[in-house]
Amino acid sequence: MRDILQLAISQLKTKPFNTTLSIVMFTIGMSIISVLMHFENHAQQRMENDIAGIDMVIGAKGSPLQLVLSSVFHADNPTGNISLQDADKVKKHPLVKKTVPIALGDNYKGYRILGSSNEYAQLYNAQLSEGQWNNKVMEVVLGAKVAYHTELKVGDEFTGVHGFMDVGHSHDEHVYRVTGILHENGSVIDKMILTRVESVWAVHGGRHDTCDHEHHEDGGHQHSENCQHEHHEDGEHQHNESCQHTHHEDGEHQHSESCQHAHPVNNSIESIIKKVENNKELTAQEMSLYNEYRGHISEKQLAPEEAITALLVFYKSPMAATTLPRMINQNTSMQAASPAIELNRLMSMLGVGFTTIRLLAWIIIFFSAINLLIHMLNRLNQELNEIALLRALGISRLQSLLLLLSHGLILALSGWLLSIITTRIALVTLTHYFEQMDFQGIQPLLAGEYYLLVYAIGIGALAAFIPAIKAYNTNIHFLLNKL
Amino acid sequence: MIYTKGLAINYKGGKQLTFKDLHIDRGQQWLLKGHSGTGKTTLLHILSGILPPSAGIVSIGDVIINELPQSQLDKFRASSIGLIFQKNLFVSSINMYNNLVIGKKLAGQQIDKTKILKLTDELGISALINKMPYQLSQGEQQRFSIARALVNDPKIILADEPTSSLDDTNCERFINSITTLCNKHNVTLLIATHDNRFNEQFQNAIQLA
Repeated sequence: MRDILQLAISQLKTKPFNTTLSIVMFTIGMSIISVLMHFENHAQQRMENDIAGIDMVIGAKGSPLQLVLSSVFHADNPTGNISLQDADKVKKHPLVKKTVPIALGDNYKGYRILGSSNEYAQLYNAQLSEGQWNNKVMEVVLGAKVAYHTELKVGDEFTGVHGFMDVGHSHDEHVYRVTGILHENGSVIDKMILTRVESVWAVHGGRHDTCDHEHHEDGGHQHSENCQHEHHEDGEHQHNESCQHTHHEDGEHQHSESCQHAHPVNNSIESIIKKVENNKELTAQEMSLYNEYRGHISEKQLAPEEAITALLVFYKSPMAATTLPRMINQNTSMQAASPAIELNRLMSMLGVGFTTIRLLAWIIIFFSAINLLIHMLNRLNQELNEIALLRALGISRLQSLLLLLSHGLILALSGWLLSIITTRIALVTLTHYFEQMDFQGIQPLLAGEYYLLVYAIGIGALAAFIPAIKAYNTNIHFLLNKL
Repeated sequence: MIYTKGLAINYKGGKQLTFKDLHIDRGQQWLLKGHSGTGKTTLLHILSGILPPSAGIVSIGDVIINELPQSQLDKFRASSIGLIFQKNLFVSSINMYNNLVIGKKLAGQQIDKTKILKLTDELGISALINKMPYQLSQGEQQRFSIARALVNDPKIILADEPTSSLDDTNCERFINSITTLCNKHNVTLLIATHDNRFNEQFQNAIQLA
């Protein structure tokens, strides 16, 4: 058998170009499928890992997918805020085992600052690699990737930036202090900055007070609401800046003056309208007054201390899944969403894309299989006289069959092996260049790749089959006579 | 050594070819003469077991080969019969040494390298054993054919028009080599040919008509 393999390899080596081409064709198709399988598997695993057994997410009304994306996968903006009071009611519900609050608002260099309880880190089995847990307000623990990319160390201090983009208004007066750094664990927590809910409240609430104060002088409730409103929507920094501006640079006196200054503006809608007509910028107060004048409805907003962004809920029994979400969606101003269901929805949407690419890859390996078949037939036609010779020299029919079979299998198996290696190299390279991908080290073989191996063996055998049958039935006498 | 009785082969379309009975003793050297189409190659193929006869028996050294099953026939051919073809046939992807031993190797037999080198020395081709088939001349290739036929220590060597592509010098050299070696190794030789250059050296001839 070893001799047959050696002979097959020698024969393949004499036509290196043909042989390489056949193998490469086969490799390309299988590599594409393989990489896809890894992507899909990885995405699914990561997401399931990120769900961490969360049964339900409660947040402000809006898209359930957005709610799940924003507060479980941290990939989207939040739908809004819910009141702590309402959240407490859910927490005390008899069907609820455990809840974890989520308060979002700021980021540091694009990494989200997440206010929560210590239970959040436990959800992902996060372990400290250095430092201590954040026990006090304004103390943070960094995810491994955050620490790596921002180069923050234990004991360092930084200020957050409002919203989820790394450019924007910065909360300079509220300084976070790093007390610990987490081990990388491949979950969403790697890219998070963990702090207490109170820290988020402090950052936003503190500022709210100054604004509120200002607005009290104006005697406008709507203003404070408007101010608050801005905290939860991105990109309304004009107002904040004006606040900060007056507060910091001009000092108290100037500040009150600026507020004073605002009074006559407030009082004369006409001047605002004039400003609008002249395309001049409005201050936030003027804007809200203008909105009011135009008849816009502004909702009642919550003070930051009374609100969280979302609540992660764990059920006591599966029965809760049938009753709780419906109850919340119908009877409260909040919405409930199931991460598992939303993830399925998301995957089925992405699934169309995956299926299309996979179909393409199968078409490629189907044609590469045909290519392999043609290659084998061509070879046989050229080498049939050699097979006749070998048969005349006393090699059995079975051995000549095995010889051709080894040809096919060697080609197909090297194609498979090469595709496995190519896939690993591709994944490592992609991880190196794209931060979003984090394939750690060399990936183990997926079940799908074993199926590919079976497929490769099948194709190799099939490609050898027709030539082998032809060789098996070769009439040596006839063939030798023809030479 | 070679004994046949009532050999006949039927072709498609009802044409039948019959052969005279042969009786060749061990160590004898015979010519198989006849014009093209008289069945020289066919008879050689029947004798070597490549082609099963439609009727009659072939006995090589007490073994009636047309009664052997295919697998044993292949083995018998690998161990007892050396073949030399009209054209020089070699496996093009392996070197000459491996070409000499490939049959033995695949038949699972032991290979005695010193013995093979002695044989190639006798034929004056030892320096060429690491070359590939296409690097050799016709004459060199034909000498390798002799070596390959003798490698198995066969009981008989069957050669089919071995000199048809050789010039006089190479032909004489071939005839000398093969007759000497067959005598030396006590191998029965049967050469199918219409080449008259053989006539001087051979006493025994079978004329096919």
